Amino acid sequence: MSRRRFLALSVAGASTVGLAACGSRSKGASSIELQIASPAKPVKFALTSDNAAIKAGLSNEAGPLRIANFADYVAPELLDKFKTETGVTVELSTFGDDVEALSKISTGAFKVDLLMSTAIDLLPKYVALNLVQPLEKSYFTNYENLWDSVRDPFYDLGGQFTVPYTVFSSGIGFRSDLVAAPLEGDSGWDALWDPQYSGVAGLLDSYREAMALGLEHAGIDNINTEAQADIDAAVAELRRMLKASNPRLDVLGYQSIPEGTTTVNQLWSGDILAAQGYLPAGTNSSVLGYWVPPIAKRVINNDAMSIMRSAEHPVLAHAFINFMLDPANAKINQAYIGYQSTLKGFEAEKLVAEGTIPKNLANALVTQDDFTKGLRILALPAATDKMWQDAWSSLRTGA
Amino acid sequence: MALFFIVPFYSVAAVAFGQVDPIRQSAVPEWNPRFWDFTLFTDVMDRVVNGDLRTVFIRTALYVVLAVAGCVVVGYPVAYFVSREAGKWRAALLVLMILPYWVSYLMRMLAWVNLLQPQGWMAQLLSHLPEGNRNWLSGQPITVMFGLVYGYVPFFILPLYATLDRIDGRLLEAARDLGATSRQAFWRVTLPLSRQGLMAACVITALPMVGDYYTNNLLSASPRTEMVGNQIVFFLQQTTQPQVGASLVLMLSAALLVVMGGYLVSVNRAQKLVTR
Amino acid sequence: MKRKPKLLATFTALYVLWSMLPVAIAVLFSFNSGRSRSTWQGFSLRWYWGDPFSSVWHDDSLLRALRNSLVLAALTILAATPLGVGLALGLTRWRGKPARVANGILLLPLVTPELVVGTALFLVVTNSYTFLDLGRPAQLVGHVTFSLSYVVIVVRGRLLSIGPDLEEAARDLGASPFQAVRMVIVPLLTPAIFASAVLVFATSIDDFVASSLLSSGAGSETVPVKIYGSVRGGATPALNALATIMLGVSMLALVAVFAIMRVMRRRQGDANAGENSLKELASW
Repeated sequence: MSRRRFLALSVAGASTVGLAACGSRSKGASSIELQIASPAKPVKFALTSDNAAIKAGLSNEAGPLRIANFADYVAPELLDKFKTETGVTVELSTFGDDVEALSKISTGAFKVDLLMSTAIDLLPKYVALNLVQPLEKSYFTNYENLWDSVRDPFYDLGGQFTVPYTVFSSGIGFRSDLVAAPLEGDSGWDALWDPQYSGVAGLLDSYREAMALGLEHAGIDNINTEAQADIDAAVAELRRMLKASNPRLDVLGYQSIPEGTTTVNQLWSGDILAAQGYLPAGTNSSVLGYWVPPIAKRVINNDAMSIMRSAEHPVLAHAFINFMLDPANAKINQAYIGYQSTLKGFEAEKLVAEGTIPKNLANALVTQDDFTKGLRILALPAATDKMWQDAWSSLRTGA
Repeated sequence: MALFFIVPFYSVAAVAFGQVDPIRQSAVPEWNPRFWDFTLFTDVMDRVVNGDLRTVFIRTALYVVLAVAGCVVVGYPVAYFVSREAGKWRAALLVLMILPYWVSYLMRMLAWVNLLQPQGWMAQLLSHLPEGNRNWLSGQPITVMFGLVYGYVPFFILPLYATLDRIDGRLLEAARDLGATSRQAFWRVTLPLSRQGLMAACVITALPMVGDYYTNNLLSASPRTEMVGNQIVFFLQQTTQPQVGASLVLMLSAALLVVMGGYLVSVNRAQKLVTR
Repeated sequence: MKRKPKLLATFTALYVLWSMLPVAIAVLFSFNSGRSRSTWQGFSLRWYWGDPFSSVWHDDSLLRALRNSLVLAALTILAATPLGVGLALGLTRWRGKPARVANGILLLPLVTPELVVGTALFLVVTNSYTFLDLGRPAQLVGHVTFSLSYVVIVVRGRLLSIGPDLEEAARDLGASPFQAVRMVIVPLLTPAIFASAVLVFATSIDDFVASSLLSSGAGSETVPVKIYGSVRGGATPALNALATIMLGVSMLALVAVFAIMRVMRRRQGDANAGENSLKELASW
């Protein structure tokens, strides 16, 4: 390796630079407005002529159907069932975080037909970037099974681009046999700031959820805040948590809690229900516990399914959505993933009455009433989102 | 072949110095260097020099230095033994040295994840030690450094072995004839002669280690052990701001070039001494 | 006589154990009869083909990863080996500055962290609307970039030891330069070409960073990427089984090539065929 090599490289580099300098300035950024929705200001996306839904009545393509989803967020048994019913293989690409999904889909790192878990706070971005296609509802023969209250959501009036998937709350999952004192009352979340749980704590690796927890713990109720001061307060809160309990950062709490590798873990409600399936042999689900703040401070959310604009198998994607809207399949799914489905027959009251959900985990279910009263994670304007993402990346440096 | 290198590097620069699309907050690369905009880059630079990213760079440097030191401590004796003393075992040992190259890095780490999991054999063994009863796979810097040593020491040993092998045995015999003990022969003859090779092996090991992110993710997954590589991949794949990742890559490359330059300068100086 | 260095010998033995044992244990657990990767529950082959859902044979995603790894490795060999041999042949003919520059560029991929090259390629592919897409095409480019260096180094080493004499002799006897190369040099190079092909194979199937950064989801996941994605989750020993299969394939390739090289060298009159083949494989 000689110095001449560096010289040669710089010469080559310089000449490339010189060639490129002969060009003109590249076009600047686009100037599309993001349509931010909230329950008070619902949004109906305008459909454009260059992004039309597929025609009705087409037959399935040859496959394979490519879907993107969180890990363990759809029952493998269902993918096999779909294959048996349609003869089409399903390829599942997984991600760990909603922004990761957006990033990978927009760069092409994910070439998928169906996004099974579209974060509704990122939906405006998906629409603005032309990443999703309008749905052709005639393929959804099972559409009637959806709860009435979710068919016309504020974030997508008319359900043009999305079909709801699951509904969940955000709280703290814990091992009632391993914690010093059970988490209850209004401030159960203090456990995450408790040094006695150092090394056995967990935080969701999702910037909206983790920062919302920081905001709430700092007493700020606006989890969609645009104020830098609020964000700073949340970051300070979370830094304190990192120092106190050294939490893991992942979305695998549904395994680590039952395995006992974490004792207190920020979780989505479905996770603690799924955790029952990961308990070691001989351990009863009574050791699992879930705490949520009072409804005014509780984050409620739902995921939705959407079809990519560049999908190579849109008809199959529609067929799959319809497949998931079948209550028999939803039951299989819920048994595996734990999350509550938004189909009729899966209301909280009904599930408790049936005995499907143990009493100690009944608070992990979401009633349709909670849906209207809880805090919702909404989309953020681009500049605000950058502030949030910068704060999150700063937290992740462990500084 | 230069094409394979120049074009990608140039794109990194174009993205780092380009504009930002306000909607996706993603990069709009600027290919014309006349219009390169350095504000994004200086922002990131600022974070590195003064802000939160400085911790990550320092931590990475620390882990790499300690891990390379670990490689030296483990690898030098082994390389020495195989090259000079092994005798009839030499061929077999050589095969064993080469073997890790053929085992996937991921598989070797997978093995340790299994062993260090709470019910894993290693974790159970360690729990008998004082302070040993902890989750070794969650935010423990020692685990990450151990993983780095385990992963990279084969890449360290082989070049070092090649160097030690080339040292003429007669020089050692001569030293012995002049009255030196084995130990003196080692310190005064072998070690200085192997210094070039040792430095080369350290550089060959340290450079890829700096870009490592998967060892940390597999063995720790906590912000407490975040390395530069983790941040780069984070920005590329988990945010919509790849330009920050691009800026970090440029900075990392610059730092590595400095290290490499320093190494080359010292090699040149040593060569001049020899040929004088 | 020197006294036997017991300390060093013990140290080395311990090192070998430390190096190999964890992998051996991982292989062992791939035969576990239960779901745990850390608690031994008995011997079984279920994770290879028995288990109807999760075994390597039945789990589509694991099979796909295996297929992706092997296809990508094969394509890389096909692309990198001819290119590399050509480059090596060309390089030995250059003299002076261009040769040294080319030498330097060759070594670059070996010392650059893969993250840097992988990131650069990722940014090229995602930002320049070229014909290149993320997924197997991009992964191929990434793998070839690294593999070229290995091929050139191994082949060039052999070329240097062959020396120019044989080629000159052929030319003196009236062969054109091209014929000289084709009929004299290339047959002598065959062991080296094989060795470098195997090297490329091993590097490609074990590669993680480039494969991961340049993948397009499940359709182009390779085995290391799959392992990485599943290791911290509740993966079954099927993961160990997958890794063991890959290990087996690597070892088979290594042994096969070693055997072929030994046969070739014997035919060429090399007395110490075995050890020389070993040296060649380790020479880079």
